[in-house]
Amino acid sequence: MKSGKFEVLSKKELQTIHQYTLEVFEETGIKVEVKKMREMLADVGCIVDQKTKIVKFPPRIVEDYVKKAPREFILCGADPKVQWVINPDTRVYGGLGTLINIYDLETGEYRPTTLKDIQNHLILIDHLDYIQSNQMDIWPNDIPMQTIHAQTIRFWAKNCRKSFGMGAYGVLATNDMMNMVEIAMDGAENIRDKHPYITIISIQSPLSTAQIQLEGLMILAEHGQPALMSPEAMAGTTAPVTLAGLLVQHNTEVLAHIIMAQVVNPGTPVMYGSVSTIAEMRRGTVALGAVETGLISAAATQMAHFYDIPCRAVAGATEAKTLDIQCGIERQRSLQMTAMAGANYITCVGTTESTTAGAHELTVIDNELIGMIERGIRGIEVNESTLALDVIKHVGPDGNYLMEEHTQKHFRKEHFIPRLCDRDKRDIWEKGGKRDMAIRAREEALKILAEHEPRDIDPNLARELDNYTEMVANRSLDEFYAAEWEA
Amino acid sequence: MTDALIQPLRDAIVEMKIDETEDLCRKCLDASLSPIDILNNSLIPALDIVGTLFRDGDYFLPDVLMSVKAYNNCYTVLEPLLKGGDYKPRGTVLLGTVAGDIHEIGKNILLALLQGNGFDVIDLGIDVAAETFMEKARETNPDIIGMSALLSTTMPCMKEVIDLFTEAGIRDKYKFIIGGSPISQRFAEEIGADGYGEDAQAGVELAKSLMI
Repeated sequence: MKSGKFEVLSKKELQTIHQYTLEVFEETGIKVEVKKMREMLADVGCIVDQKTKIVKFPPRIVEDYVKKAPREFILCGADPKVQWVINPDTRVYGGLGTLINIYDLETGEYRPTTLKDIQNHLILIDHLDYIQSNQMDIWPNDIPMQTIHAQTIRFWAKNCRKSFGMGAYGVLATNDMMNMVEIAMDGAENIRDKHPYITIISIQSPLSTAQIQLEGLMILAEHGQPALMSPEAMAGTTAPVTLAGLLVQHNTEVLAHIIMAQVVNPGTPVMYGSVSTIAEMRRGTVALGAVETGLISAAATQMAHFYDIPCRAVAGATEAKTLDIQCGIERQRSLQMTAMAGANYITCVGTTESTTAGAHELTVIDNELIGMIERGIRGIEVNESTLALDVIKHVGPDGNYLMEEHTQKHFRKEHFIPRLCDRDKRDIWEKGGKRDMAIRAREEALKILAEHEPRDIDPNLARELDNYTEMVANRSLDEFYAAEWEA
Repeated sequence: MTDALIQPLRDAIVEMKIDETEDLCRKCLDASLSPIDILNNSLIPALDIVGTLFRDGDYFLPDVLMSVKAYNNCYTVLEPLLKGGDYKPRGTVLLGTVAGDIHEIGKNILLALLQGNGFDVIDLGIDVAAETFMEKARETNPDIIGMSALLSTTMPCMKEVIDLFTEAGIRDKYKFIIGGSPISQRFAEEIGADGYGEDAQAGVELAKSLMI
């Protein structure tokens, strides 16, 4: 068993990126869009300019506070018995994206997303073996924006045993999320040591912060709940065009957010995130389907592990518009590169168009893809039983192994057994209606949705979640904006 | 009392416990259960369950073959006792891989599955000449003659076998079934075979349907 990691940076290069990062921290600094946060940073020794909102971090602060981030935390599902350890050596997969359009599972029509779509997505994730987590990956167009988080958390708690999360959308929404998760898990004490809800903090590149995201981060840290620091810097527009330069800037941005979480509440679980990629140089748009995304994700993973922090990285992303060959190539390549790099929370199953659109079929297909990739990473197990010397001697020339007990005992572990990839003879395939992979995935998705049954949760908790959702629905959009803190 | 023995035997076959089934079968006989009852209530239901598990995608060939092995361990015990009574096999099948071809994995899978479905099977092995098929057919009087080929170069030998039987005027005494990677339904029709199975399981279904 010798399995090599996909690495793109040497130890010396990691050290150099770290040193240059310290220089950016000290000389250029980060723009911090929340006054309260700037004050807290000033208190611990950062140099703060309240007028420009620029905060400069001395190297000592950077190194001290990054060290406070834990190496490991426990992720659990809405069912608290379902748990995963998140650390630099483990790996889970999840959804993530902001799908605003989707291919309709029944009609195949490309159309705006609805609440039903995110609900179906949660059900699929609940059932798919290789996907452990998901975010509010699909943005419904048919309900008011300020109710999306409440509607989805309620549905998640009632239907999905796995972990969930979404972006931090300001003071009111993030507080709602914490409140509802506490209701769903029957009390704040039940999320202290294990965490069912993982929140994405989007970072404004270059070297800035988004006010509502930062407010969300501060609230998460106060609750000790995990935050995923995720810049989407684009080489050529919001970051240097050179990937090494992007990494220096990206590293500064991620570390700044990790430090802020640790300043608010030392020991808050965090992940070093990356959605960074290149810009499409004809139009200046994002290109998550690019091969460079895999390189950057691998480098980000190495940087994260350099700091002994788990890494979240984007993968499974494509620029394809349909479920075509490009779609397959790009998602496979990025998932494989990222997984082989050793990223610990790998996201974006089920998406297309830089994660702004997608298809339920792809979620099902990505599940199988991940199974294959994980089989690849597991490598070749070598021991007395797998070397099969006795069986080779027993079967001998011209024999066959199919009827050997050894075969029956080992085949399920040694071979990955696909559900969707077709390996039948042409005759059988033709008899079955000449179905391609997308059609088989659609049927699988429809079957899962038809067979799903909601979780059996305490009716009192269910009622509390309903009441909370109704309270959120009765709020006006103005109330949301009014709740934000001073910038 | 009977259920207490019949069910564990059935389950042991389904669960591929090849080291236990013979003992369990002998225990049934020691408890004075009749061989035919053991066959009908343990062995055959077990393989029905295995068949369902295979169709549903839960069992794979190695599982099925291991269950058949467990079944055969019992059947070997029961067979001499059954011969005197009412029991008749579902049919007799003569199997062989045609001349020039030595690829017999598919044929052997079919063999095991046919046994597991109550057929008596006579295996002629590999590289079987047309004349040998004829000679053995006259000797053993099978209901079905099954031929396999993996190579497209050996496929024509299947036609030679059927032609030889036709010339001898005994073609209609037997049902001919064929299978193998390059074989298709069209080819089966072209050479005048009675049926074709795209895989071993389909071969079993085909054999069953030809016995009705």
